[in-house]
This record gives sequence, structure tokens and C-alpha cells, in this order.
Amino acid sequence: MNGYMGKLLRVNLSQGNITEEPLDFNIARDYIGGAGLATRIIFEEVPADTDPLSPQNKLLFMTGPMTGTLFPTTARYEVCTKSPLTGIWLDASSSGRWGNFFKRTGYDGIIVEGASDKPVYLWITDDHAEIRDASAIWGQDALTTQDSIRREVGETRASVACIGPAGEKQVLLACVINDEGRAAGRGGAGAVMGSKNLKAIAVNGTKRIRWGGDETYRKMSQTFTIGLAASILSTMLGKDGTAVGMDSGWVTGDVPVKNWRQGMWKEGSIKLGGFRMSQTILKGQDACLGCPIRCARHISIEQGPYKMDGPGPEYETLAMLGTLLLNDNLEAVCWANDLCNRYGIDTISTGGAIAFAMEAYEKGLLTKADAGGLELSWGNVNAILELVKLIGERQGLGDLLGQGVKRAAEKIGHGAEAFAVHVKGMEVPAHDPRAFFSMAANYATSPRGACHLHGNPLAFELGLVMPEAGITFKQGRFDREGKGLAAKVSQDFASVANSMVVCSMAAMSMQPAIVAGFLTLACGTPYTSQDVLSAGERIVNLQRLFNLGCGITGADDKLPQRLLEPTTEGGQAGKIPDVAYQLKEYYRVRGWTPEGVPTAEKIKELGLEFATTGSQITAKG
Amino acid sequence: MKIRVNFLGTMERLAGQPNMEVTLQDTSTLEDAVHQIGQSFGDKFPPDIWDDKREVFTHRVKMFINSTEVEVLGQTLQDGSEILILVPVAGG
Repeated sequence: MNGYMGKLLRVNLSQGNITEEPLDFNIARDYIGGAGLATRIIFEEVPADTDPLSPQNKLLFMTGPMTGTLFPTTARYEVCTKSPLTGIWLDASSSGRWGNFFKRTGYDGIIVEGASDKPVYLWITDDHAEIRDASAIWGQDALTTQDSIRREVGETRASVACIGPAGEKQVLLACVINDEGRAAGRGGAGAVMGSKNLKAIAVNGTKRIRWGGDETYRKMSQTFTIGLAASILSTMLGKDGTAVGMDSGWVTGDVPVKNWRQGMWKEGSIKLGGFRMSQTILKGQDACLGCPIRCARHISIEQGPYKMDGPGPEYETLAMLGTLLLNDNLEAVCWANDLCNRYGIDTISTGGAIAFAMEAYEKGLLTKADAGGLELSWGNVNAILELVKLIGERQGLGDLLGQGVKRAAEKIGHGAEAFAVHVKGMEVPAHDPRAFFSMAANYATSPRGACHLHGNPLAFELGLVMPEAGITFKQGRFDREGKGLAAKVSQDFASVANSMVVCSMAAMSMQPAIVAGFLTLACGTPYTSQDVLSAGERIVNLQRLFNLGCGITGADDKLPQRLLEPTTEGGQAGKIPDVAYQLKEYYRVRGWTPEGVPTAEKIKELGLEFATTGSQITAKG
Repeated sequence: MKIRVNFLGTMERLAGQPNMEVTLQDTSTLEDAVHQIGQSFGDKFPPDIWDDKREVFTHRVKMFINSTEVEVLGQTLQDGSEILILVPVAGG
């Protein structure tokens, strides 16, 4: 088990103590690490009926067996918990340096439990962890917090994962921010951190990571890195960032516009695109530690109301705080992105919530008085920026919107659910399932609600094949057949990536056999392609069992009404996925009942018998 | 006949220009247009989007004729047709 450090930290904030415990290598083999291993731990330790913001919920920060090795994109980490936004499973991933620097302290993960009675942060160095008073930094924004803690610990190299004011106030869209503007964004992990009075986890590991295979692993990693760096993916993302998705996505209909009502906005998409960003405000490419793709943006706006210098927005942010709101002001989106980073809120859900508010305003369900005097008209940049602040500060209308569109629609009533675009309470990210039909089954069944990182099957509709998993030819994006299988395979493989804790961009360049080769060397135990795919399937099924225990049923596997209404323009005009048909196929290939419950045979096949005898699954039978 | 080719996003960056005009014989097909594009820019396109032997784009590239997505290279073109060429991204 060379890839692992072999130890977990357990931090009980109620008691103020820290203990070490050995990693169970038998379990690690079946769940790999990262989100997979956390699934097993949370399933066993967090009862399904736990209030996500109570001390009984647990918050795990996890790395994987390849974290910090020569394999590219392995500076990442996963934050795992029961989500306060959705009430079900949550793992959120981030990159930068934190994952690498944490693992090199000598631990594979941290289990945070209980809640402190005063603000604290964790300071972790080689084989050492301590709880420190955070009273002086409580209230600081997420970027200032990182500087403050680095000064306090006296280590300019230290990497800090922290919450901003939104997490402190338990805004349900609050995220965890690290290494300037990197975010474990989705599902409200920042609110869980805030509920525990945990402001930050600062790390500065310097230990060497033992990695399996030695020279063979080194050569394989180098070969993979060279291939990744030379690929068209790296050319595109390196030159123009993930924002390049705007440049072409408006043609296919992938880019959401006006709260998903409008099928295309060519001019706005191009003004917000990566090519335009490169020509105007891009100061330089930026990269996570050890990544050859360099998709991150460092931007500089030298004058005007949005003058700034720092991390630039990604595709999702450009779409959700841009086109979705009919806002084509690139500099204003950069400013909104920076505000979200400082408050520590998820840009995807924040954009979704503001779009919902603008439509509610248009329909007369919200008034100017409700909005504190703001004119919530489409594209009103000042209103967008003010709403970001209100959400981050949990003030005024922001208090409602910060609970996500599902809760906001329930409180507003009068049919507002019809334009609340979420699945299981999670706002839908910026890939339209009417443009790529496989995303329908994927969103409907994803373990954390609407998500493009727990399965991104549109890759199969763009030409990716995975013969070992049954995807043998390119799917048409509007095909009726095969979408359930595409969603299943993509989710299983994404679970593997989230458990290895590698970037989805790198994962998309791998096949199961390649993953098996790396895991065999990194973990020091043999993996076959089938082992890899089974591990992914095991993790997804255990997450499903957890979610069933939380009260989810097959009836929750659905798309929001808005995404079942065709647009009249764009690359998806007139197209609507047959979700019921897709789900039937999805449940069948998963080995689940028609009601969406894993069968006894599937549970036995995956070695999950323990999960059906405990308290989690008996809650729903 | 004359047709217009628009390169989007990364394709514009690779081609070094946003568009080009292609002159073809009547009854020409999309494949004929692609061959001409390749003669001008094939050496600028990396192998994962350009098949140098067959002188066609790989499956990574999507093409639209007058805003309609096309998968078949044999589709005939009309005078004034507009072709969009792009490389979609599956993520971000």
C-alpha cells in the first residue's frame, strides 16, 4: 500500500482532542481513497437522520493513493459530509496545493466531528496537528483568512482551506476555499464547517510520499503527463481556460441562458468566452501543483469599477453569473466571482439562485421591496453584484436565496417551483441536458443532486468510447437509446476519479486499464480493469443506499420542469430527453429495482451486505 | 460556388483567422470543402482533431451547415452555405 500514508486524523471539536488511527487497507482497496473511502466512513458513522448542521454530522477532508505523486493533477482533495443544501450525500473537490501539502504531513485524511464552542482552526505539520483559537480571524473573508493564518503560523508556504463569512453564517451555498480562489464548491460543505466553528485547516507537510512502482510508476506518469500536455484538451484549456466552453457551447445549446429559457445567446457567450478573455484581461495561465494543462486563469482589470488582479472565472461561473442572467459584462462576472470567493459561496448555485430571483421578479412573485429596492431585471449588473453580497452576508433577500432555489420556491409558492432549476435541491450546473441527452439521466440520478462532476456522459456524445465498460461507439447526442448506460458508466468512472482524487480533465484521458495500471503500482496491490469499474460501482451504490436512508426515493430521480420545456432557438431547439425511458434503462443496467433501489443480488455482488443490515437502509426498507 | 467557413474558439486560434471563403464547383460536398480547408490549415491542426491521411477532421470536431449539425461528409453544399467548425469541450 505504498500510495497511502497509512493514517487518518480524527479531530473531535466538542472535546478538543485529536487522535490518530490506522487506515484499514482492506477497505481502502475496495474504496480506493478520497470520496470512496469517505463514503464508507460516513455510512458507518453518520446516521441517515442526522441534522447536517448539528455536531453529529461529520466532515471529512480526504486525499487518495496517488495524491502528491508524480501523476499529474494530484494536488486535489475531497470534502465529504451530509449536505445541508440537499440533505443527502455530498463530496466536493478542490485543487491548488492543499491536497499535496496535507498528505505530506503524514495523513490520508481528516475526520472532523463534534463542534467547538468557539472559533478554531487546525494547524497540521509533519506528524503533528493542533487546534488553535480563530477568534481573531472570525469574520474575515476567505482570501484575507488565508493570509492571516499564514502570518500567524509563520509559514508563507502553508496552504489554507477555509470558510468566509457565508460559511460562518451557515449559508447553505457556502463552500470551502483554498489556495486563493480554489473551491470545494457545491452542496454547502462550508456551512457544515461553520456549524462546527471551524474556520480553517492550514497544512504544511514536507514529508516524502512513498509511491509504488518506483521507476516504472515514474516513467508511466511522465509518459501520461507528456501525452496530456500535448493533447488538444490541454491546447484548448491551457490557451483559453475552461471558458473556451463558451466559445463553442452556444452553438450546441450547452450554455444556459436566461434561467434556461432561451436556447442560445451567441453575442453574450462570445463576449464571455475564453478567446475574448485571453485577448483582454488575461494576465497569465495558472496551474494546480503538478498539472500540465494550466486551465486556471490569472486576470487583471486595470481600471474602472471592477479593477482587480487575481483568479479569473471558470466556464461554470461565466455561464451561471453571466449568460444565465443575461449578463454579458465579462469584467462584472470577474468581480462577482471574486466576491463569491471572498464570501465563500458556490458560484454555480449562487448564479442559479439569482436567476431564479430574476424570473420571480419578472413574474411578480418578488417585488422591488422584497429585494431591498433592487431592480431585478435581467442583465442588471448592479443588482447581480448586490445579490451576491446579500447571499454572502445572509441579509435581506439573500437570506432566502442562500438556502437554494428549492427552499426559496417552497417559501415563495404560487408555482415558483416551475422555474426553480435543481435536482434534489442542488442547482443544475451549466450543461443543458436538452443539448446532450445523456446529462438527463445523469443529473436525475447523480448521488449529490444535479452535478457534472459525478458523471459527465456528454463526453460519450462527443466521441469518447470506453469499450471495457460497454461504450463501444460514439453516441448521437439526441439518441434515445444508450443514455442510461452512458450515465451509469460515467458516474462509476467519475467515482473512481473522485476516489483516486484526480482531476476530471485527466480522468477523461484515461481508460479503465490505464487506471488499473497506475493503481496497481501506487497502491501496491493488483487491480484489473474490472476491479476499477467495480470499485466505482460499489461507491455509487453505497452513496445510493445512504441517500435512500436519508429519504430519497426513485420519485426524486427527475429533472426540473424547466428542463422539460423545449427552447425555440439554439442547438437544442425543440429537443427534450425522454427521462422516463432513460431511467428505466439506467435502473436496469445498474441492477436496481424499477423503483431505483439496489437489488439484493447487486448488493451481494458488490460486497455491500453490511449496508442493508444497519440503520441506514432500514429507514426506507 | 462560394461558401463561408467560420472557425470558433480553439479552431480560430489554430487556424489563425476567424473565417475563410472557399470556392467550390457546383454540387460539391462538405467533404470537398473539408479537403480545401485541410490544404490551407491541415498542418496547423494537431492529430487529435485532424486525420492527415484521410484529410478529414476527427470525431472531436463538430460541424454545422447553416446552423444544422452535420455528421455526414457527403452532404451537398449550396452557394452561400455557411459552415461552423468547432471543438466542443466536455467539462469545465
